[in-house]
Amino acid sequence: MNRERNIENMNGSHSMGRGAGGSSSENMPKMNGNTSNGMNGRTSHGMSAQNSRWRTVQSPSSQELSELLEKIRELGFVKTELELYLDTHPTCKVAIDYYHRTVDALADLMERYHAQGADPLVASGSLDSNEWNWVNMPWPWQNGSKGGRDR
Amino acid sequence: MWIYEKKLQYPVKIATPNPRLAGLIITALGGPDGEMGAATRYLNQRYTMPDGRVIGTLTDVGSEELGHMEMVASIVYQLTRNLTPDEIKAGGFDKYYVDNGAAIYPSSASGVPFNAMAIASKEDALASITEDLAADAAILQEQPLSKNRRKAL
Repeated sequence: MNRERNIENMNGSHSMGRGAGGSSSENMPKMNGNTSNGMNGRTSHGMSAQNSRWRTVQSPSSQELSELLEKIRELGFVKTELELYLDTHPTCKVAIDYYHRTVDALADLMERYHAQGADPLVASGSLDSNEWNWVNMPWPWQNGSKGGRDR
Repeated sequence: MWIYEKKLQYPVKIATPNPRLAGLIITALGGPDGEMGAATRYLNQRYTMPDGRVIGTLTDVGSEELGHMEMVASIVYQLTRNLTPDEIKAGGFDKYYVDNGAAIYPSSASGVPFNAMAIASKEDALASITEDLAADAAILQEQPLSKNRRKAL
């Protein structure tokens, strides 16, 4: 299974096997501003994938992902704590600057995480143009198992 | 007005199921001093607070308590994996199980369903905030006390 996230080589190399083929993109809602070739605003399966955020994703390597996730957890905690502090210290410039730097770093980490093609952490991170992978198992309390009756 | 992330605030990975422990830990979710009470308390007190700083604090803390609810529920969920009827009975978990199975039902360890009577929400801001302090201190009874003084959380 190709684990490389090589957007340029999307054409013809994806094999997600979902049976959607390439024609479903014709009915997708138009996406404005996400492609650099202005004439075709639609997401499409491998055609303007180079310029579109919405593309077929494949399973990423989990080592790098869990490291990213660990950093996301840490920074997310910093963010939450700063929010609580700033709620009662709204004029503290030092904390405000720290908060903005944290948010920027976190946004960068989140983008890198989702670019790996993993199941998304936020619904808007669902980048797969064929499948609404937001609903994929496992959900966080399942600790990686399949869930269901015999878990 | 909630956006959420599909991850626990801190991961929960329980190796070994334990129905007795599950029957105790459920109280940290739906018991009188549990996270559901905390979230319900803060998120309901915030509406009539007179200052945005207090509303912001109560909303942010209440939202975080929702995340804590999730973690406790995850612990109970993982503690009740694949139980046999003998294990359920031996763990004293049968009374919960007969009504709920291995589902998460917010209640206390003694089986009292979560109840908003555990919280107060008063228009008098100081009354509500004092109640918050009392509720927070109540959790100290479940934590080891240092020898001579109570530690603030």
